Amino acid sequence: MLDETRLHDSLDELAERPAPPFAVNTAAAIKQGRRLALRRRRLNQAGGTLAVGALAAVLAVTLIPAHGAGGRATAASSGFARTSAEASAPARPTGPGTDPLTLSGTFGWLPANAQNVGYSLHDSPTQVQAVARGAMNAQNPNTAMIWLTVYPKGTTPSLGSFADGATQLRVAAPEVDGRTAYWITDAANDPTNGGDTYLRWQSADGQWGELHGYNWGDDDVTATMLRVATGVDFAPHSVPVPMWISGLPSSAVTVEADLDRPDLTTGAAWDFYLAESVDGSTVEISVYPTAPAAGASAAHAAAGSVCTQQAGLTGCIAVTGNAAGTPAELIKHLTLLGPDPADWTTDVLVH
Amino acid sequence: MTAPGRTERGSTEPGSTEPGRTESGREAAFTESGREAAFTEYVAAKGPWLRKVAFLLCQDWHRADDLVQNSIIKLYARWPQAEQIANLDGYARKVVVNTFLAEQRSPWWHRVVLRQEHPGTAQLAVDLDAALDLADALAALPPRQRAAIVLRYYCDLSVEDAAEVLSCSPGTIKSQTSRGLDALRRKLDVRPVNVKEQLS
Repeated sequence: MLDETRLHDSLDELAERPAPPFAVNTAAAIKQGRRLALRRRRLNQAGGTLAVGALAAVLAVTLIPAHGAGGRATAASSGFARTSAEASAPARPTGPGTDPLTLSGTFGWLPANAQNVGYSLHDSPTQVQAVARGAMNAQNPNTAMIWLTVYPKGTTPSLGSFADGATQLRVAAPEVDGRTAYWITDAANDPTNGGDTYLRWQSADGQWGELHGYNWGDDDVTATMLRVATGVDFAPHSVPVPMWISGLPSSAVTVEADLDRPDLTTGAAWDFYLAESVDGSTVEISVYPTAPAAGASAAHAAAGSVCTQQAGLTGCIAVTGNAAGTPAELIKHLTLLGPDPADWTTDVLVH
Repeated sequence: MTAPGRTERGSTEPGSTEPGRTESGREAAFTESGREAAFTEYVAAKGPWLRKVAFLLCQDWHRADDLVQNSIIKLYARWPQAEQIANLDGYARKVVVNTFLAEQRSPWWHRVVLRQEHPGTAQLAVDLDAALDLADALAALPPRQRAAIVLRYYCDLSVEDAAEVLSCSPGTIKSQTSRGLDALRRKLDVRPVNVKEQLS
């Protein structure tokens, strides 16, 4: 008979059973948690905007002279900044800038169920990846995904371990355009690695590319990935983004940049996020299409971040630490370029 | 028997040297790097315990890791506030339990590590089956019954505290626990086995 004391002891012993190595990535959690916090603040602002809409007209707004083309943006003492000239054309960058989303290859052919291409930079190691995914929504949460990584010229990627500690094995794949290719798996008889599939191959000039695909269900993921690999263009590519900013010191280092299509949180068409490290401080910038309900209406003070609305977009800045200036100062140097990617720029960080 | 890490932070004495709770930790937490260091230290200290709770909820170590990973993302997003909570361990555990329940409910089941079983895994599972009766029995419970059992009999929470974690009434905890226990007994007692011997 299972009495409660015995159950207590049995649960203890079950929890103490031999287990694989603990595979939690605290550094990644910190980055994602930071983003989540920023998004929550942003959503709080949107909610607050609705809640205080009727009070908007009587909010005390302190106007601060703006930058760029004719004082477009104004900042509020409440922590929110509003545009004073929504209809004016976004100011182009005042000088050449750098683009944090610069990578060495781009997708060509993509399957019909993974047509949304986004980009992501993470700093450990510093690497910009392109990702193709299907439309994500509550009915289709596990959309097919393919990540593209292009290794620097002269770098030959090695095998290591998967996140759960399993040893990576090399299994020969059909050649891609006559070049060496192989699958990475932990079971030699399963090149798909249980549906979490990796393909590496060399370009014509010897550069290595890598595809990582998952959520393909019963589809023939190997054939799809081989075809995707064939279409990859190994050429430098800077991704236009919907904003540019000046005023950050040249010592600023990009620690994360993401152009998500669609926005993984709200399902909006896209979302752009940038995190810059400045002498121990972190400046986080989030840009997204302004929700119609939020419009150009009221501001709602959210602790720690300041937002602006320009050209149909909303941009928010949060700063941790004291070395980079305040959000209210930095927001004056942020220009948003509107929802049309044709208006976006690769001169993103202008010094 | 008390599992390591089962002591909750809120029950520690003043002057505790636990991660993020020292005076210097509080000062350091005012900076981003200090906050990250305190969080990293906390996860290093309490992550294995949270993993065990997660494992008992989901009966799969890899999924437990995913559950903890998703939970500590949420925890870090609220870390400045969480650090001010007297019972930080309890809060972290609540995040894990609610993340588990949310994933059971939601179609947005997202695994950070997206891996599937390989051919051959099923046979391995069969080989280990004799040692996994309790895990199987737990897995057969509805998620909230399972959570109630784990909170009451692994985490040693009172009915009232378990109710707070699951955001329900004490009466619901009692009924969930009772049903869960009945189901475990039915499943385990139909076979003349000693659970402890099997697990040893």
